[in-house]
Amino acid sequence: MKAHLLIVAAAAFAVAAQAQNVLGFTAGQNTSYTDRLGANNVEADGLNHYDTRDYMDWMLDPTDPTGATMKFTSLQVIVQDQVGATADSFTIVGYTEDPTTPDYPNQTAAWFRSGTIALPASTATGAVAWIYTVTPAAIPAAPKGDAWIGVGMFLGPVGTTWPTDGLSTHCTFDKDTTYTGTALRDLAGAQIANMPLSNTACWIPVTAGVPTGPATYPTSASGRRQIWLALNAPVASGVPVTQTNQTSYPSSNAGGANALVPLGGTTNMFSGLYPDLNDNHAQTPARADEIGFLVNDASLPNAPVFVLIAFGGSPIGSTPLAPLMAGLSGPGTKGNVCIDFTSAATFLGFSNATGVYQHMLALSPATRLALTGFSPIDVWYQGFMLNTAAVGGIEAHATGCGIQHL
Amino acid sequence: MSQSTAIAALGLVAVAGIGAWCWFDREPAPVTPAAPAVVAPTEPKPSALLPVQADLQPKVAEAKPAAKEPAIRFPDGSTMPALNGVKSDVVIQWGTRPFTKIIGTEDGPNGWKWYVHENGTRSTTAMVDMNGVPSPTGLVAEPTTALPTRMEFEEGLKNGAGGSAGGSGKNKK
Repeated sequence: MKAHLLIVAAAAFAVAAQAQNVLGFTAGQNTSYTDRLGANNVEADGLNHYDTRDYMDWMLDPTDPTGATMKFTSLQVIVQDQVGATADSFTIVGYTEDPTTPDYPNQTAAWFRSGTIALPASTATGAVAWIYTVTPAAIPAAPKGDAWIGVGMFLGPVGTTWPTDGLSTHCTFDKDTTYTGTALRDLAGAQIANMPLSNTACWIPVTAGVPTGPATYPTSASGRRQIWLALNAPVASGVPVTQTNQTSYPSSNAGGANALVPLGGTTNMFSGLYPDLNDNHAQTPARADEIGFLVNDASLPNAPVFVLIAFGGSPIGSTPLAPLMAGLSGPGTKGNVCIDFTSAATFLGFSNATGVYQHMLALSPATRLALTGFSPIDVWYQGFMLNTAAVGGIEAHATGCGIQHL
Repeated sequence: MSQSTAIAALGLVAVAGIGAWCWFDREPAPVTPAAPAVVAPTEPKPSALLPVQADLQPKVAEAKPAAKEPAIRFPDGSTMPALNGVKSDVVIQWGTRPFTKIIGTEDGPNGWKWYVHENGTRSTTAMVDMNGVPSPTGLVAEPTTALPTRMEFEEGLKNGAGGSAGGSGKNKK
């Protein structure tokens, strides 16, 4: 009996230790259109750019004690075939940064590229869309840093052009102040003007799986977009979250029934990273966004969560958490410390039954004005979750750092 | 910033964590590791993030009842034979909606066989290259609402979708 209990306990621990976690980038992200990111009739990789300007140490390989490599286990993306009855396929692909051209993917050596992934059968003569979850046996680890991850889109059937037929992927578009349409687009705060266009999604031409040209980014701010793309990794996730009053982008509103963002709000790369605290764009009704941090770790339900908020990164650089905890650290501790912990304000909360904790700051009008006066200013967040059932020391999971630009 | 200062600061955080936990939850600590956490998937509402698209009803065959190795392992703990030449077990990472039972199989256009689930989701395994090396891969495909292209949306060319909210584009069957 005792042996059985041990086996059960060991199995439970093993499963818990391997628990997968959907990182929060798409937790609150309405999509606007289906798109090929400009590569309308070119075989191309469409890629989200995850920039260390916005996210640091966010999917570290937990098997690397140095905290220097990144890795994920599965990927979710929405692919759309304009004519369901025709056979279409795609790949999943990732790049790290070009060592000679910052903010551009290294086209000479992709981080990973899958083989062809086919769509299921369909007899539809119109468009069909699928949310794909792709779990390879292993995605290789790569040095941490900027990452470009996305979907390889082949050309449509011979004799057709997109969007008559062919494959595309669902995206969220930034909204400029002159846009009057009704698509679900997100108007970010004024500081997005400081966001390099190379911070957003891009495409790279590809021939037979080999990149053949540099990445192409949007040429104007109105072309900024983000692919709906979720990543799954056995790490604690932490992303900035913003609540807005936009009727044109309901996933950014407070409240609602989205269990992934219990208090409501968007975690996208637009308002999520560039909130509008003081009605920068003179909207009706006036914007007064609320800001915060969304933490989730499916392996740690009902767990204490410390959210640290500061105005910069760690003064000693990103450092693995376990050795910093010296003798207090127990098995299972993972993640780096990347925030300026010497000056950070610390808040305590508890994750819910699914391991989610959303910490929102209640900004007073005076605080909003003060922050605006300091603008541009970056607010850094990092979360630390504790496993209260751990034995043999403190098991802490550090999220990555998320940076909001005010 | 010295290493000792860093350790002290993090130590404070850790000690504060333990203290706070003890204060808020003064029950005896469990002696066994925590049970594996399961995130309850949520079904998106039609107007929410990922509207459900009703695809065509595929011609489905009878599912094979036996689970034998190599197997595909589903989130409810059940297993079915791995498909498409995969010769090792595959623990499938599930999608965005709740897992529902298998009601049959269907053949895809490239020869892959898929399991068809009650809610329209498809799942399968296949040998898919990863950096040129064939790799056993788990795949889940959930039907969702097709969206207009940007041009279609703005011009209202797609069955009036241009006048409706994005994310709820019409699905053509």
